[in-house]
Amino acid sequence: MKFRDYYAVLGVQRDASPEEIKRAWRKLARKYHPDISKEPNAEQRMKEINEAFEVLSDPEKRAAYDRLGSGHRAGEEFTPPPDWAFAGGADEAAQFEDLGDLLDALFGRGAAARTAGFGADFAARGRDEHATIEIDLEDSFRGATREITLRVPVLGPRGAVRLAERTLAVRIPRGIRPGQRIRLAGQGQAGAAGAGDLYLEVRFKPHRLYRVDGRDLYLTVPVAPWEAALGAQVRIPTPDGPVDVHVPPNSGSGRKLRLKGRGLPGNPPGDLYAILEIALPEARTERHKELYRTMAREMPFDPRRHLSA
Amino acid sequence: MTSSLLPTAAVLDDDTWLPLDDFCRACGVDAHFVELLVREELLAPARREPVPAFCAAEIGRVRRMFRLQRDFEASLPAVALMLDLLEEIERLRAAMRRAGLPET
Repeated sequence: MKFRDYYAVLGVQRDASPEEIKRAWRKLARKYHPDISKEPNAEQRMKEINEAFEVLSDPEKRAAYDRLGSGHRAGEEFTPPPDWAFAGGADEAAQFEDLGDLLDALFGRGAAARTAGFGADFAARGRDEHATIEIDLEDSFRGATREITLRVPVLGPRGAVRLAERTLAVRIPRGIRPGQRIRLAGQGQAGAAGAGDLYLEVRFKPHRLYRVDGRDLYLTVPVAPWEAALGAQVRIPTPDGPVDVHVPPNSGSGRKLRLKGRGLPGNPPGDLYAILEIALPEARTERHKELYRTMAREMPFDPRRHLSA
Repeated sequence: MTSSLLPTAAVLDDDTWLPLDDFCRACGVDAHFVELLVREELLAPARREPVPAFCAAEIGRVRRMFRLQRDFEASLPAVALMLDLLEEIERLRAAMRRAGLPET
């Protein structure tokens, strides 16, 4: 069994007062809360923090934990002392690979309001598992198969709980949007009466070119001043390959050109919006400067007209 | 490590309705919490008869509300406010993203 140092997780000393422990937990919650934190594994981190707090904030559990863990460092192997009170005897302790699970079995995590839906009763259907999966835009566009690795408690042969690592291949449905969930029946945690389900929340990795909003894609398209003024055919990338787009004459910066149906697949498919951005050619040589001066002379243009009183 | 190839994944589409039990499992919360949210008008069922059912699109919100009240010891009115603020932030971020501006 690996020893997890809950004091280190919360960043407190072993003699920390209940107040200090609570303060430490609050501070970490603000930092690692999955709804605020940017880190992809914030939810996992928050689980660890909550587990540490659950044990250290309860005087009975903390005392048991302190007795169990004195003299051990995080990650070290250890066996619980022989006088440890177990319904089934000292052997059963070795079946729990995780310290958290051991304490759960002793105190019953169902008593704490912290983890919803958890029952230490594995005679029933196994618990559902929730995770997130990060995919590329292209995976949603074409459909894909992705692998994820989960660390889940599974039911062992003698009816005890073990932590196991599990890799599964997940088929990503075509047209799936960020924030949508996929349910994989029977891929959750094992229980005596069958396994729970696995719920995956889909997130997209940031894309080099496109921004995603629902089913729609947004792409910034730089154009030359003459293209914007005179109109032009410009070639732009789309997930399905390059497409020629007509830039209407006298298009201003920020103009949105809508390419219907070229967003994420679906019913109806999303659109791709090309947002024009007028790029200014630099006046480097004397010839270029002369061209600009000619424009200034021959094109009456007051961009700041509306600023004067 | 064991590997298994899965034939299908069911997408919980926005217009998928889940009966109460399935909805609770999808959210990872118990029925008591869902009923509390409905009572406090923080969640509306898609239908009430014969058995309450909820829109799959609400799963993210319910999970978020559960985490906020648990991790910040917040009352439900505070959670409602936090949710509004977070959703406003997301709307603003989406607008920045569409315009090609950096989100952070």
